Amino acid sequence: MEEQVAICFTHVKKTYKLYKSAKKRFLGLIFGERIPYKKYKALDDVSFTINKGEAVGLVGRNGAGKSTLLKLITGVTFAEEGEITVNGQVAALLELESGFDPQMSGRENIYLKGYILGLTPEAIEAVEDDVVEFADIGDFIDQPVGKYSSGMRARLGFAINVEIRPEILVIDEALAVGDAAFSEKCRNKVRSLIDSGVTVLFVSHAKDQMMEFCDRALFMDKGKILADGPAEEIARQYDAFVEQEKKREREERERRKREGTPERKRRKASF
Amino acid sequence: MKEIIKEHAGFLKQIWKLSKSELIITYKGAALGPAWAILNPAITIFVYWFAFALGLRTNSDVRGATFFQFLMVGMIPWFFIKASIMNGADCYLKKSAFITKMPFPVSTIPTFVLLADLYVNLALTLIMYILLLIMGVPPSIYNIQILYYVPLMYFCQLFFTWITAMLSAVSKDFYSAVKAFITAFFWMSGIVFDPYSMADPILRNIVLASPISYICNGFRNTFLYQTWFFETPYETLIFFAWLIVLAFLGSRFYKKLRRTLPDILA
Repeated sequence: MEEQVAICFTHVKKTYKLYKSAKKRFLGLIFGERIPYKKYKALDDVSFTINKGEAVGLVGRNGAGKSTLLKLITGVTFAEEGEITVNGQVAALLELESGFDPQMSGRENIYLKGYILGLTPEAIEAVEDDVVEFADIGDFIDQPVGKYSSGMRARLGFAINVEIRPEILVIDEALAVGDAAFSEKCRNKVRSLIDSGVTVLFVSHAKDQMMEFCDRALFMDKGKILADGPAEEIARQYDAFVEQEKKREREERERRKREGTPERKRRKASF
Repeated sequence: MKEIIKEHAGFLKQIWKLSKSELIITYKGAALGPAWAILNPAITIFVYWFAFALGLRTNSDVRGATFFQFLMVGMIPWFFIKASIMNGADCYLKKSAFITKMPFPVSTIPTFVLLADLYVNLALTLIMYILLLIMGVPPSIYNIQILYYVPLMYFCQLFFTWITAMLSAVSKDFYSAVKAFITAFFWMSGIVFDPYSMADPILRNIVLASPISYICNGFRNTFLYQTWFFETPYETLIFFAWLIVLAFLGSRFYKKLRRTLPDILA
């Protein structure tokens, strides 16, 4: 049973401390709680389990906590409460181009990124040809990455992340990479990875894509998981939720207009 | 400390490769490339020699070595110290993508950033040694002490960087402060003058207690003055005290702030 679990969150809480200025933040690190700050609950008591080989979608509005959740899974940030278990090598298609050096060639960057991800030289050598082939950017592979178009950079980044044979793949809106042909290639790749038993966590606003890959989905809002179930069911719930929110916002705006109250107390920009 | 060692243990090959790439990135894109690593220090040494020997006429021999030799041998380790202070203090800021975008053993960042600086310095030391031989300074058994002083220099700077890099990531003021202090470190550490010839005994001991002057004098003892490190027990003891304090503080800072670092830099 234990080996079945790929990702497990139990009662995970993550708050960001929002200070008024950099100075306050600095003092806050020294003097702790005595310096006032606003708490922002990015994740509020989140629990869920994803088994190996599952493809799970993650939906929610901006600021719902999706990115924080992904960052915790990839091990970039840390939660202050709760327990997180992640079994297997995670590849994150969060920021495809992070870790690239613009002066180095595409090929050198494959190695650089590989080392950053903790791979050995031999392991990178073994996948180098696959990455080059998948990225399919021709002679540009030996040119500095700084000379690439944004599409080419994304292609190379995507290729590296999927070819290092991850056990858990985290995708954040990354399938809109490059032109239609490449996008199709990426989708096929992800599908074949899912078929080969890779666990996939998929964040997207594109409902169709989510339903194409995932059989299960999580619906988040305000740092909580509101629903967990079959992808189609969740997609329907999310749609309804978005419609309702839109309506509520519209009414709110109209009410404000009628009553003539100012929209919000503003802080002046400092420049 | 345990955490830092653990982060390094499984990452040694990667550290070696990343330090090499760091070196390549620094010198890529300039036509003269790596030549600058040599030219820059050469010009600096010449300028100081010009100002002191020809301008201020302090060209007298220093304990049997010519002033030029004295200056050159003392300044070579300083180039590493300066580079490592500068590159070390902002290494978390510069590599913030490693910290905020991917899981990465963060404590290895100072290690490979400083290693890249060390490679340059080893080349400089070799050139300096050849120059000394050409000038007629005979090779001696004391030269093997370079295997003692170089690692100590590296670790001293590494431990110092654990503190400065973390604090600079928290507040950029700290990075500015570190940069501002470099000039003070340089002029007050006995690099351009001989601390042993200072008249005031209290001041002399203060200067000798600085880790920077321990390293610079160590290089001189190794290449010019034929003195073993255990022949300067007072300085050696104080240097190791510094090492322990820096390592202790640095690992404490790391432990305390590692987990908030991604949120601070994001």
